[in-house]
Amino acid sequence: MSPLNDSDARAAVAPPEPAPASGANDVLLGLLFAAIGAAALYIGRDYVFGTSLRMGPGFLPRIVAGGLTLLGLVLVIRGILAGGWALPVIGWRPILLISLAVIVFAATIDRLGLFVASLLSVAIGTCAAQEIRWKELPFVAFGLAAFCTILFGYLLKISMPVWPQ
Amino acid sequence: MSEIVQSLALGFGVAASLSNLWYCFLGALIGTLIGVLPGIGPIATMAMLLPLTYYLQPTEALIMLAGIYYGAQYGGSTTAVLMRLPGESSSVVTCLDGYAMARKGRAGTALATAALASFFAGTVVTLLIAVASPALTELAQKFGPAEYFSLMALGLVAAVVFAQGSPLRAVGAIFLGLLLGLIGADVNTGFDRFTFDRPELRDGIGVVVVSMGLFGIAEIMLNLSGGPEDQGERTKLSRLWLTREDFRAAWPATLRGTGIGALLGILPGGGAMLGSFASYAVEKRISDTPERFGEGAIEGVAGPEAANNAGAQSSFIPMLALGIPGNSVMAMMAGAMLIHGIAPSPNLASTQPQLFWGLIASMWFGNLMLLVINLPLIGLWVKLLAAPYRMLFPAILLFCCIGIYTVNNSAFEVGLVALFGLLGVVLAKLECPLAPLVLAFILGPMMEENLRRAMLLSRGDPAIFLSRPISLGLLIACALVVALLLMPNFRRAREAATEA
Repeated sequence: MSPLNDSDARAAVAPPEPAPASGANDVLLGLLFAAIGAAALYIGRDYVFGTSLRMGPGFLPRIVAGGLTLLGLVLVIRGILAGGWALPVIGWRPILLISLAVIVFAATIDRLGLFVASLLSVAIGTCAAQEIRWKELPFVAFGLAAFCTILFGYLLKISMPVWPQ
Repeated sequence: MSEIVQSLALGFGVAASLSNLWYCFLGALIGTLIGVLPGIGPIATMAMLLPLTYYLQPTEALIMLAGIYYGAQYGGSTTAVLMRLPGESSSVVTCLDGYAMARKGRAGTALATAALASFFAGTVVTLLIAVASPALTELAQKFGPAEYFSLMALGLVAAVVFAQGSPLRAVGAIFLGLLLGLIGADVNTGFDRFTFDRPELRDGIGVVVVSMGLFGIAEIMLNLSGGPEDQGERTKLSRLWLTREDFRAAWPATLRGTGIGALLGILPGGGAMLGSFASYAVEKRISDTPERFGEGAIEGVAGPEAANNAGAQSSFIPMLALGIPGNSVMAMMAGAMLIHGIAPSPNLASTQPQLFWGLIASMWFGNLMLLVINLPLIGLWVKLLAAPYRMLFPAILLFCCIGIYTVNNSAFEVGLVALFGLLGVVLAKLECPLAPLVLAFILGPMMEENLRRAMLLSRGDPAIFLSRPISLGLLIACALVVALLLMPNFRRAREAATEA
């Protein structure tokens, strides 16, 4: 419902700090918007535009992608004018490991079933913690996989592969 | 009037059936259980628990989901008071005075105030929905494609105002959301747009996938990459009840909070968060002793808590009366309706009166359940909070994956969630608001359809949006909101309200 996440929320209740110059954020966000918009314009270059009476499938895509590109460029300019080059700090290890855990679940669920997919994805995901506790890891992974297999596979009988096919 | 009484009686008859009461209770209980866990908002909770409702009857399923929503919403306030950790954005302001009260040994009073204010707001708004829905449904009969388009445009403009931070970034987020909404086969011609030759994308990306990625998965990532685990200082519970002075201070604040929250919740693009911020700002402004705010003023808990509950509930109005989901939680409800074969539309009240009025009446029961569950069980929630995040997040992660997979049995969608998780982290780090993005993503396809229909009706003449009075009125409202946004005075007030 809202863009706030936990760390934002914590920041919001923390005592007020001097507002950081956000030039770098504007530039980066602007570049991201412009890149996505330009890519959409390129991919949709052959979509039929149509007329205002009979709008083609390319009518809105072109307007929206064009608008996004333009806004991105405006943000870049505003960012350059504002200055302030503190880049946002991003801890990449947990982000990549969590993504990997989700992708592994997606890649294995159809063939290997709920239990194995859960086991693998929890094992990978748990490594994203600040400190990895190797002794806990097998218990967490096995316990959660078993719990979900029993809950979703047997108690709720949700139709999904449970064991390797 | 008698019609409303009759309808409400029908609704209470449906909602008070033993099975519906049970699912309402179960939803509120599980919702609170998951909602008190730090970092899990209502959307993530609902998506995780969506599979639990598949095998229920449609009415039971919606009542349970609504219960989960209220529970998750309230659970956020509990952590806000006890640990200064808002479980979700609408309880951020509760942290300020709620936690300050807890530090002074008045945690129990703060929690009871939150529960009672929420219950009061819930009761009032249930009545409001019952009264307003038939009128709105009637109004909806006058709505053609042009009116729908203009209303949704107003929703998007409002979302820019309500977003935190720079309006320009919010506009960018809206364009990005619209673009994502265009993915899939064109409704009129069947032409594939931005599908990258994946058949899974022809139907477009699901709302659940987008919100689960942007909010659920991204939140886990942000929490884990946000430095050392910080659980806040725990506080002891005290007696629960309010003194006579507490009541006297909290009562008017609750009333004002209910009004503010209900009003802001109805607007498309509104919802629970804005109401709580606005109510806090109002209470602080009209107080004789504004310096008490932040030091444990009970009005600072009662007002925002009433407002966020009122807003959470009144955001049902646009969906029930017009078939337009005003925020991502409502989109999730609409998705759940579709899974059960019910299309949200203005005709819902006439075609499915049992479901429509049953859901409305269950809102009141849901609020009663919250009171029943929360006052005695606060001690239990405190214990649950003692579980460290490193034990919790693997479970949240796995529930998210399973929840997404069960929607369509599609492994591809689970993979997409990872992508949206990454996008969510990048956008959050760059301070780009996500709520307008999701709203645009939800409204985009509907806007395109209505725009095309309107243009067909008018033979390609865009003047149709100005010649129809309701549409014109809505567009004037859009222009006014944009004009407001450009005024320096309003910009300052908006910053003060959304940053509190």
